[in-house]
Amino acid sequence: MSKKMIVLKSSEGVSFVVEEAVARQSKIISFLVEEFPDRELPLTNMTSEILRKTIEYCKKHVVEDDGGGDSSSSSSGDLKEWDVKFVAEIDQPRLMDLLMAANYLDIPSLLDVTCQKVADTIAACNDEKEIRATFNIENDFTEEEVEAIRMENQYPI
Amino acid sequence: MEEKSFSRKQQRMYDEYRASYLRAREDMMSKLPDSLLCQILSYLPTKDTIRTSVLSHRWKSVCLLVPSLDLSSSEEENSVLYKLKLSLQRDKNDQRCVTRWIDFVATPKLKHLDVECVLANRIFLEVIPQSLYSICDTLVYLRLHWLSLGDFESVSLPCLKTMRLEHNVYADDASLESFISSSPVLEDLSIVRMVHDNVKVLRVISRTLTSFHVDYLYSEGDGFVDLFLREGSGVLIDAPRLKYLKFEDDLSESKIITNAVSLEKVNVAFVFGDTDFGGVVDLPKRNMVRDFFNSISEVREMKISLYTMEVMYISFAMDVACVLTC
Repeated sequence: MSKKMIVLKSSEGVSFVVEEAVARQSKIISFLVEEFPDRELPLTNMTSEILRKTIEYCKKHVVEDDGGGDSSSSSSGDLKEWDVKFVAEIDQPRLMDLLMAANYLDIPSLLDVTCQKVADTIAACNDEKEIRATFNIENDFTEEEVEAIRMENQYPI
Repeated sequence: MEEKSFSRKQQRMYDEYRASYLRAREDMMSKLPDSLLCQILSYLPTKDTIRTSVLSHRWKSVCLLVPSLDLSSSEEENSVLYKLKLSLQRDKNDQRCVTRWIDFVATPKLKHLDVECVLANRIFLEVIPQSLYSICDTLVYLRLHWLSLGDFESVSLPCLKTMRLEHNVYADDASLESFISSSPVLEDLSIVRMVHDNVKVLRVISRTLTSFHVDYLYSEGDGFVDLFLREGSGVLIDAPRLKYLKFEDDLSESKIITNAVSLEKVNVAFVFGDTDFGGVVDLPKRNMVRDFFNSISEVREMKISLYTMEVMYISFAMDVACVLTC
């Protein structure tokens, strides 16, 4: 039985042929496939690199949805491990792109792992200077303002 | 030409390198919509979320939108919530928000609890839930502001040292008295009463109390029409270890202090109300005021507001010097 394939096109115009079941993990694509069957779907705000990563993630996760019968399906523990490794290998700017892609395509589980990774990165920083440096956040507070916020937020006891 | 132009491949490599260099220095977070940043922050313990509010104006405003609360601490295994301040805005559509919060976050080892409501109409003040009284046995500090204490069967506050009751409504005189008396170690008490609080006489009877502040105010919307409510109103203090007293209750009709043997400092900001000023003062009232000052005459340091001095002098024709030297 041949599986139904659909075509996704990145911002650079590169086409990716993907199994429909894989692509349907995106709620947006799922909707588009039904509305516009047999059409190439242009994803103009996603680069080929990020689209490739997103598809990689979806491919790994689609197995789970085949039902328990598939012996090759990874256990949820393995899958979690795979997720952690998957986001660990991506650098900061690309992770943010992937996060936005997950949001744009509406893939809740990918959004979840990418948000978690960013949160972990924030939590791992020792102070706000390190957070600013990690994410290139510009400090638009005066020193007095920072002090005032610190006083306000003093952690009890 | 000495400067050879890049080959196409070199140019592409250069462009790629330059792009990644720039991207690595870009504030990616600023590209995220608030909802996504908020979602990221909701994965953090609240302590870390709050920490990010010093990053920039935007982060500060987003911090306030984070809908989750994660108060667990990883520093100590046995760490529990010790201090909790709830400042809640209530409206008519949410009658039970205080109850929900207290049920949700009050833990059995809580030491410091501060609950205040804002924006609620006096008629809709929320009754403190019974669950509060079950966590009371570890509380050391309690502040309740703009709430209703309702009727409770019994309450025990065995560790409570500081109690602040501000603008609350009570079931009756007896319930407020037993609430205050429920702590056997109470040291610091502050009560700001309002005219419509269902209490006629405030009785403060404590063997351990060392500091007491009392104030009595009209709340918004009250006026002189509520004058009759003050009929028979009073404050009675019986606290033999009381050292510091700040008295700002000018509305109660009777003010009685007994057993003031340990008193060191008194600040008498208000004893008389507007109605006492310039009017005819009857004998019982004059006796009450005289007794009031007599009862605190042992004090070492007394501060009297100018207003109080004037009323004493003009309306009561009292010998101020006599009061001060006795």
